Order: sequence, then C-alpha cells, then structure tokens
Amino acid sequence: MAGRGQGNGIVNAPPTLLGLAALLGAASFLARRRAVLSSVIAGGGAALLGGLALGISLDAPIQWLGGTLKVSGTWAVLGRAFVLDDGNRAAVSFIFLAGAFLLTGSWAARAVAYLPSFGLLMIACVAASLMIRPFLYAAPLLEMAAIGGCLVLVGDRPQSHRAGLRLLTFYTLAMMALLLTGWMLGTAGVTSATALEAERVFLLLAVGLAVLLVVPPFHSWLSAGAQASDPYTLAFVLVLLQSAGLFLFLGFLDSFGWLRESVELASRLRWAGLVTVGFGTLWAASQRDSPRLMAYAVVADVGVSLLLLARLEASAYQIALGMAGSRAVGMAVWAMGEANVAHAAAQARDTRLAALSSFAGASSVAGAPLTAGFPGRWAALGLLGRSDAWASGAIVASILILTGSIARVAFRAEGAVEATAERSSRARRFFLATGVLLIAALGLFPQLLYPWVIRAAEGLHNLIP
Amino acid sequence: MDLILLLTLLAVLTSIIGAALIAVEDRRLGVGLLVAEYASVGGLLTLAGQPGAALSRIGVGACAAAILVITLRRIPPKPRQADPQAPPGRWFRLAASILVIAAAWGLSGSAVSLLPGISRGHAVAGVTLLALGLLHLGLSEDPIRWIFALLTAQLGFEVIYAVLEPSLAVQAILAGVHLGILLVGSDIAVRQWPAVAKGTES
Repeated sequence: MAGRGQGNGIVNAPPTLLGLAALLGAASFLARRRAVLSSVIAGGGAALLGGLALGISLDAPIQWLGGTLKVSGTWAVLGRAFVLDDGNRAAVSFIFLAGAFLLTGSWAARAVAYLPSFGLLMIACVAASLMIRPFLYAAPLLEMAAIGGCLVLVGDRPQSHRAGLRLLTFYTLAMMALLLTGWMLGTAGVTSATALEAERVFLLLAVGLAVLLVVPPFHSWLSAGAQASDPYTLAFVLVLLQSAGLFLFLGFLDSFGWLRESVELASRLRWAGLVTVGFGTLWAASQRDSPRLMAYAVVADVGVSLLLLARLEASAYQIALGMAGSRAVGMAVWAMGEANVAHAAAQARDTRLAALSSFAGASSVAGAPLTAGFPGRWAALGLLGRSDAWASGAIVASILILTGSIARVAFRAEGAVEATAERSSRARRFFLATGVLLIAALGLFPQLLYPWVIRAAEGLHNLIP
Repeated sequence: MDLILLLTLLAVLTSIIGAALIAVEDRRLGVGLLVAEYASVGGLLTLAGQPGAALSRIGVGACAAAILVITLRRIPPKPRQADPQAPPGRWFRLAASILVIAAAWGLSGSAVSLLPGISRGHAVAGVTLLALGLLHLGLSEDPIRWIFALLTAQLGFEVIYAVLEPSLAVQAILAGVHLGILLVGSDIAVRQWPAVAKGTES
C-alpha cells in the first residue's frame, strides 16, 4: 500500500480507499447496537472517501510532515490493476457520496442493524468495480456487492430469504454472462463484422445487463423483497446495484465503438424499454400495498432509462444518469417515510409527516410534476417526443398511471395505520421533513443534482465528449 | 493413460457426480458429493494446464466442506415443514438430471464453436455442470440445496472460463465469490432455524 525512501513516501490510492472502507465498515459493525453511531461512522466515512477520491492530488508530490508524499493512482495486483485516474474518479466519488447519503439516513429509517457496515463494504466493492482494469472484470466485484446485498436484505427477517437467494442467483448468472461477453469482446475480438458471434454477444450482454438493471423477468427478487424485506435496505441495495449496472453498461458502450453505433442494439434497447415501462406501470397499478407498488414503479422507471439509452447519444446518457440520481433520492425518501409509517407514533403530526415523506418519495419515482423525478421524465420527453411517439406516449401514460396508483394506495393506507406509544425523535422528524423538502427542491431546481451526477460519467470520453 | 481418454472419463465422472447431487436427499451426503465435484473440476483444470486454478478450487472445496458441515450441525437434518421447500421425488430428479445431461452433451458442441480454445471434454463437463446447477436451482428453495445448485453452476462456468482466461486475479476473485455464496447461504440456512441454532449453542 505504501513505500518509503529518503523521506519520500508513495501511497497507492485504490488500496487506501478500499482498506479505509473496510476499516470503517468494521468500526460501524462493532457499533451496530447504537444505530445512530453506526450510521454516522458509515455515512461519514463514505462521504470522506468520496471526497478523497475526488479531491486527492494524483501522481504529484505533496508536502506532508516534513517530507513528500506521492499518491499513485495505480495498484497492480496478480497481473491486473486497480486504477484511480481522472477518467473514473468522479464516478468513484459519486458512488461513495450517494452511498453516504443513503447510509447516513439509515438509522432514521429504522433499517436493519447490519446495513451501515455491510452497506459500506458493498459500496467499496462497487467502487472497486469502477477502478479495475480491464473493466471487463468488474462483474465478479459486482457479484461480491450482491453477496453483501443478500446478507442485508435477509437481515433480521428470515422470512425474506427468498429475495436474497433470488438476488444472488441472478447476479451469479449475470456475472457468468458478462465475463463471457467481456472475453468475446476483449480477447476474441468479436465485432459487427462477425455476425453470428455478434449475435451471441448481444444475447449474453442482454442477459447480464437485464439482471443488473432489474429488467423483467429478472426483477422477481425485487418483488419478493418488497413483500418481506426492510424497505430502506431494499432501496439501498436496489439503488446501489442498479447504478453499478448502469455504469458497467456505459463502460461497455464507451469501450467498443461498434456496439455504441449498432442500430440493432438501439432497436433492441428501445423494445426492451417499451416492454419494461408497460410491464412495470401495469403491474404497479394492480398492487394494493406501497412496497410492491414501488418495486414495479422502479421497474417502469428503469424502462424509461432504457428508452433513453436506446438513443445512443450523449444527451440521452446524461439524462439517464441524472434519473439514476433522482431515483436514489426518491427511493430513500419513500423508504424512510414507509418505515416510519409502519412505526407510527401516537402523535398524528408524526404519522402525517411519515406518510407525506412516503408519498413524496413514491411520487418522485413515478415522475410526478414538482418532484425530483419529473425533470428527467420531462427531458426524456423533449428528446424522444418528435421522433418516437410510442416511447413518449408510454412515458406520459406511465407518469399518470403511477401517480394515480400511488395516491390511491396512500389514501387507503392512511386509515389503516395503527398508532403505537412510541414517539418519533426530533432528529428523525428532521430527516423526514428534509427528505420531503429535498424532493420538492430537486423538482423545482434540477440543476442542484443533474450536473453533479452527470459529472460521474466524465471519464467516458467516447460517449460524452 | 491417454490424455483425451482421461479427460473424457473425468467429464463423465463430473456429470455423474452432478446428477447424484441432485438425486440424493441426505444433505450430508450432498456435502461429500459437492467436495467430489470440486475435486473433479480441479482434475479437469489440471488437464487444461491450469494447476493454480485447480489448486484454488480444491482449497475452496475444503473450505466448503468445513463451512457446510458446521452449518448442518446447527440445523435439523430434515426440512421442518413437510413440503414447500422439499424437492420432488428422487427418481423424478434423477430422470430430469439424465435428460439435462443428454441435452448438455449435445449443446457442448456449440460451446466449442462459440469459444475457440476449449476442448470438447472441458466443454461437456462445463455445460453439463452449468445445466445441472440451473436444474437444481429450479427444484428447491432450501438454502443448503441452493448452495449446492449455485456452486455447481458456477463450477461449470469456471471449467470453461478458467481455460479461456487464466488470470490469477480473476481466479482469486471467483474463489472469493464461492466463499461468499457459502457463507451467505449458510447464514440464511441457520437463521431459518433460530431456536434449534440457539439450542446447539447452549
């Protein structure tokens, strides 16, 4: 990790970041019985690591304790390398900071005790997947993150084992498909010129990415988790793994020119997007409880992202990334509200605040106007509107049906909440209120979120010049 | 002995072990068969000129045996509820395994043409284990059987992939994935029987 000579030191950034994440994860685990402390260690640690990844001066000497310290961005290990450079540091930082946002709020959402510690380790795995070179080997690291996801999904609810086992099964199959895809593209040199092999690459890539992006029929872990798992933990696992999947897909497009210019890929993505939006919206409309409705609303939201990715152009990729950011905010606020509604306080004011938080987060994922999810939908409509009436129609119908379904479920649930003697703490009420305000603020001022999230893709020079 | 004959024998042996793992009901016997599967995959990788990968599989197989034996000591020998997680009858599972093996042997030719560089014997063993693992996944939701199934599928994949991509770093990460699956599956299995686990501890 570090070497010294004549007062000069060299520190490798990737193992330092990953090692610190492991240490902070262990510290958070030891503090797991104190929910606030555990969340603060993990959330604060993730924020610190995100800041380090973004701000550290790479490969330039730094004056430190009377000597010079050089931070190297490359760590060679067993013939492969983990690299932190200007191409990926924004993405690594984004993953850590998004994780910090979610982990800090985990105590307020009454998430499972293991979430902060294992969540930080999952974030480290995803960050490692962004740093590994060649990037085609990212798939096993995402599988490692899914293993952590499986543990926290089951958490202290053994009845939710089905969701965890399905998640890990799908991710194992996806890892196999993506490793073979990577080998065929990278080593075997498959291109569009070899039509039969290119067809097989499309198939393997489709299976792998459908799992990572939670596209039907590989969404069943999500619906099973919505039934039995803790909502905030489910939101965390979903947001983290899905964002990693999106980055991996963009990495594939960035690395292989024939793939990002393939009309066939665009056509298949468009069809997948239309089917996913339709499926997610209709299934969401048929649900009676909020977690299952949200599971399918997320599927519909991913469908919109697929419609954007099918455009194979820079502005569409940027909007898709922005939507991933707003999805994280929406899911976190919904889950925080949902968990607190379940533990409704004797005070009607607390119950209303939790219900409002749940409703605001859900509406954001649905893309309702004046919420964080709307600007992405609006920009997607602007991009697709003229050229693809079917896609635009599907997006508009999805917003209307999902928002209506969320309102229906929210009103039905309002009378069903049973009050308990527990009173929400002031800090918890603060988190809930901040979440609601954040949803509204990002709906009105998307420039607070989008430019920052889009920056995460600045290393993908071939995609976003 | 002729290398091709040895490879064919190992591929056949691997398929038989994979089918037996699906057919047996005793989970302790299943652990033994899983370890045998690891050993036969180690043999296949040695024949492919990947002794490092073979050694790591045998090491992971030993760890798998230790973890699963500890897990099985903490849970009851039979599923507590009669049916929901229990797979269908033994003969049905055996018949389904034989059908899957036949299909996998047929499909292995496509794998050879798709992935230049792998031999027919490795393709047969890899595709068969992968297919048997998927079949096993579809037959049961018992966490212990789920571990058997997922590891079988992954071993099948690795028989093929280790030949294509001999990188030590990737082999190490894949070995870590095996251990992760084992630990998570065991944790879930034990959590499903909390009262029994507590009793064992006391």
